[in-house]
Amino acid sequence: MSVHASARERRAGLSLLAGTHTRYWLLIAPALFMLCVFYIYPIGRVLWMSVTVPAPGLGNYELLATSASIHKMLLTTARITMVTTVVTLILAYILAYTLVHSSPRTQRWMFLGILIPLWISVLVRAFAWFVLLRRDGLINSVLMSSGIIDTPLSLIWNETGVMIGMIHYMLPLGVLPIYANMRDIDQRCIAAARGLGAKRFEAFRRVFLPLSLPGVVGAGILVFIFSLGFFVTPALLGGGKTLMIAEYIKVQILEVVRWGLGTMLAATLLLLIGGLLAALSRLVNLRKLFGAG
Amino acid sequence: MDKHDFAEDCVNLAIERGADPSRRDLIRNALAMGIAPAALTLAGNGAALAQARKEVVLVNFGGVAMPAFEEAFVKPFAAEGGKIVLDGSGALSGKILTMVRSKNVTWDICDSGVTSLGELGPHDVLEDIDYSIVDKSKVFPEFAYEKGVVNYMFSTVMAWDTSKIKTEPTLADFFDTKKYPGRRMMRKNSQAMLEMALLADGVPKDKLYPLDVKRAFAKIATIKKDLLFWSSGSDSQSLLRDGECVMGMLWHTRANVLIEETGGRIQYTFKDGLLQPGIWVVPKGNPAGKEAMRAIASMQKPEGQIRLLAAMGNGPANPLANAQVPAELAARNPSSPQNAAVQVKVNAEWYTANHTKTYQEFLDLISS
Amino acid sequence: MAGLEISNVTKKYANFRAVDDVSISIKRGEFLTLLGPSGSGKTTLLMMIAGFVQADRGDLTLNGQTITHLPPEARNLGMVFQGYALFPHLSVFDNVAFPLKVRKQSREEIATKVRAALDLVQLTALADRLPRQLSGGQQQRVALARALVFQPHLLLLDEPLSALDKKLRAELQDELKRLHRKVGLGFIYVTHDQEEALSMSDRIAVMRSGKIVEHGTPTDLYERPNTAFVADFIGKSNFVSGSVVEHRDGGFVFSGGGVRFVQRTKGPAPAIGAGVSIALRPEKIGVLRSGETAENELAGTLTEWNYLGSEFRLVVDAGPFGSFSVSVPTWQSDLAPEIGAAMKLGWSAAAGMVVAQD
Repeated sequence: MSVHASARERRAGLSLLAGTHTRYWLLIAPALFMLCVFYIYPIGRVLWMSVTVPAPGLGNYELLATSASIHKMLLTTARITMVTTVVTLILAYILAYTLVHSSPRTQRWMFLGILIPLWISVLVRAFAWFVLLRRDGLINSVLMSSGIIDTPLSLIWNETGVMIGMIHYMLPLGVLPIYANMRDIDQRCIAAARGLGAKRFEAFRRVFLPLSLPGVVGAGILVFIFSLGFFVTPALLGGGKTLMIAEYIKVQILEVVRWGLGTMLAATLLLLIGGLLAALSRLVNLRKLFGAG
Repeated sequence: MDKHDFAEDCVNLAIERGADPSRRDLIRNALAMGIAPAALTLAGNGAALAQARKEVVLVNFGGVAMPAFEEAFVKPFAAEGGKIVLDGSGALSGKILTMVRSKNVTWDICDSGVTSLGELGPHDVLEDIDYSIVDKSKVFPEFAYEKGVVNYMFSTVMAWDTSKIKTEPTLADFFDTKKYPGRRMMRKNSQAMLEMALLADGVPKDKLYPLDVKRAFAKIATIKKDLLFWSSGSDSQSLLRDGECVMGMLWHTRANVLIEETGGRIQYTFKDGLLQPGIWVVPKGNPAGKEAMRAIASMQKPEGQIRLLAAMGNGPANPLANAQVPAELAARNPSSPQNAAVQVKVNAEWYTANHTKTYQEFLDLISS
Repeated sequence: MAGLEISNVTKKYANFRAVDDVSISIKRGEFLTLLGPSGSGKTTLLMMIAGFVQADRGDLTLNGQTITHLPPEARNLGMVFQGYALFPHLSVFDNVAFPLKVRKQSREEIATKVRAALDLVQLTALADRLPRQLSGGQQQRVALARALVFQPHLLLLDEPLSALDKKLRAELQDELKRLHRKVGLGFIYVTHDQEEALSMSDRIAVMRSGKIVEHGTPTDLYERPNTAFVADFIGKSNFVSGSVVEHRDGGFVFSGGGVRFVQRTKGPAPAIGAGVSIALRPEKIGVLRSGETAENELAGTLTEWNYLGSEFRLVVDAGPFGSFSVSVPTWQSDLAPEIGAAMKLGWSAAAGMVVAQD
C-alpha cells in the first residue's frame, strides 16, 4: 500500500468515527474528571512544589547529587528493597511451585496460610515478629536452650529485622502472580520434556522456568514497588536506625516542614517507578501481567 | 516531630491503660469540686453570652484527651460564658502550615510544642500570644513565648531496669557500656537526647545552651551500636518492660506506668531530666480571633490543670497550682518545685533557631 | 527380541483397576493401535509405556532390556501428546531441537537433524515461527518432527488427531501412514475412533475395563470378531441369540424366539443345547422382496430410515429380537421405505459371526 493511500484511508476512517468518539469521551468524562481532580492535580502540585519551594529552580534536585544524608538514605532504601525483592521472589517461587503441585485440599490450606497475613494489620505482624525475634524471644531462646548458639542472635532492631518483616509482608504479593502464572502452564509440556529425554531438573530449567518467568517479573515489579514505599515495618523493626525513603519524606513534609525536599523525593520516586514500568513494558506485557485482557 | 508526639502520647497512654484509676479519679474529683453542678446552674447564663462570643476550636490528639480536656478546660470556660469545641485530629506542623497557606484556617488553638515553634517560626504562620489577655504571671516565665505559651509540663527522664542495674545510675552510666552492659534506648528525635548526652559528658547545667551539637553527637556515637530508637511512647514502654533495654530515656508519663506495670522493676529519676512545656499555638488568621486568647487565659486556672495531672500525668503550667497539688500526685509531678529543681529547662530559642537542621542531622547520625 | 514386550502389567487407583493384567507385544516397524472407549485404560497403558505412570505389577521389555522402572527420559521413546504439548516459548526449530539439546549433541549435528526432521513433515519454511502462530495441523506435524528427530525406539501417539476437523484428520491419517512407512519405527497409537484404527493400523488391540479384549489385524477384528463387544465396537452389529438344536455339515442350526436360524462355522460347532450368539453386520442383511427367500429370515416393522447417499440406513423392529440396523446400497434397491411397513429381513448362513457373549 502506498503512503498516500494509507493516509487517505485513515482520514476517511477518522471522519466516520468522529461522532462515535465524542460519545465515548462523554461517557468516560465523569471518571476522567474525578481522576484529574483527585489524582492528576495533586500529583501536579507535588511536582510543581518540588521545583518552586523554597525557591524556583532545580535546587532540590541538586540535593540528590550533593546531600550525603540523601545518598545514605537512598542507598539504604535500594539495598533493603533489592534484598527484600530477591529473597521474596525466591521464597514465593518455591511456595507457588509447591502450591501448583499440591492436591486441591492441601492447596486450600496453603492458601489460607498465605492469605491470612494479608488481613492482619502490619502493626500486629510487626509485633508478632518482635515476640519471635527479640533477644529473649522464641527463636533465640530455642536456639540457646538447644545449645546451637550461646549468645543471642541480633535478629531485630537492624536491617535483618526489617528485611524479615518486609519479606513476610511481601510474600503473598509475590506468591499470587507467580501462582496464577504457573497454574496456566500446561503440565503436559513438562511431561513432554521428560519424554523427550530431559531429566527432572532439566525439564524444569528449560521448560517450566522460562514459562513461569512472566509471573516472576510481575511479582518482582509488585514487590519492588511496594518495598520502595514501605514505611511501618522499617520504622518498627529497624530499631529506629533504618531510614528508608518513605519515612524520610514523611519527616520532611510533616515534621521538619521542608516541603521542597519532600516533594522532590516523592517526585523522584514517582519518576523512578514510572521509568521502571516503562522499561519493563518493553520486555513483558504488563496489562496481561496484572490481569487485564 | 516534637512534643506533638508527647500530647499524642498522653492519649495513647490513657487508651492503653483502659479504665485506669486516674480516669475515675478525674470524674470523682470533678464531682467533689462541685464543678459539674456549677456548670449546670450557669448553663443558662453561659448560653446567652455564648451567642455573642465566638466558638473556639481547640485541637488535640483526640481519644482520652477529649473527656480530660472537657473536664479540665471546656466546662470551666463555659461557666464563664465562653465556648470551646474540641477537635481530636492532631495539629502536626505540616497540617498547620497547609491550613494557613491555603487560607482555610479552621483551628484556633493547637496543643503543640517548642519544636513546632522552630519548625513553623520561619514560615510566619502563627499569631503572637496577646499577653494583655493571657496572664504571664500564671506561667513559668521562661515558657511564655512570643508565638506560643505553655499549657502543661512534661519531662524526659532516664529509667532503668533494677533487675540488671542495682543502684541508681547517672547519665554518665547511660553512656558507659562497660559498667552496665546491655542495650539502651533513646527517642528517635534530637530533642532532649542532645541535652542529656551533653550532661552525661560533663557540661554544667547552666552552660548547656547553646547546645554543642557536635559534642552531643560524638557522645551518642560512642554507644551507637547499643542504642535503639523509639518513635512512639508505647514502643518506649514495651522495650523496657520486655527487657530489650537495660536503660532508656523516655517521657515521665510512660515511666510512671512502667513502675506500676513492672511492680517497681523499672525505676526512673527526674534528676538530670529535661523539663519541657506543652505549648498552645494559634494559627495565623484563626476564625475566633482574640476569643482564642481569652480561652487560653481561662485554661490557666490551677483547678483544671490539677485535673489534667490526675487524669493524664501532665504537670501544671501555672506555678500557683503547685501549692494545691494533692500530696500523692506531687512526687510524680514534673513541674513540682523539688522535681523541677533537679532538671534542666528546655530553651525554646535554641530550638527555634536550630531544631530543623539538627533533627535531620540526628536522623542521619542514627540511620546507618 | 526387537520391539516392546508388555507382560502382565497392572495399575490400580484405589480400588479401580485402570490397567488389569495386560500383555501384548509390538514388533519393530509395526503400527499398533490401542482402541477403546474412554476409561478403558488405553491412555494409562500408553503412559506406562512412556514411563509417566508406574506399573504396580508386570514388566516392560524394550529390545530385550527391562525398562519397567526407568524414568521417562531414559526410555528413548518418542511421544506425541494429545494437544501436542509444544513448548510455547520456543520456535518450531527449537521445539524440534529440544530432544537433541538435552542429549548434548553438537550445534551442527542439531541443525542438520532438525532440518531433516522438518523436511520430513514439510515444515522447513516455518522453522522460526512460534507454536501459537501455526495452524492445528502444522502444530501436529511439529509434534511429530520433535518426537522423531532423536531416533527413538518407538513412537507413542496419544489421540493426536482428536483436536482436528474431519477433513484435516483424513489428510493427516494418510500422512501419518506415509511417515510410518518411511521411518520404519514401531508406532503405538491410542484412539477411541474405530474408523481411524481400521484405516491406519497393522494391528489393533481393543481395550475395555483395563483389559485387552481382543487383538488382531483390522480385517480379523472386523470380519471375525470373537466377542460381542468387539463386534459392536468396531463397526455396528446386530445380535441374534439362541441355543443349538442341530449340527449340519459345516455349520449348525440354532433356535431363538421360536425361529430357527442356520449358521456356518469354520471350526467345530458348539454342542447341542449350548447357548450361542451371532453378530450380523448391517450391510450383510438384506430386505427381501415378495417371493424372495434367504437361508435365514425374520419379519419386522420399519420404524426409522435415513438416506445417506450411497445407502439407506433402516431400523427395523423385529419383535422379540429387538431393533435391527440394516443398510441397503441405494444403487441396487428400488426401496421406497415407509414407516410402519412390514418387512422381511434375510441373511445367508455365512453372514453371521459367532461371538462370545459377555
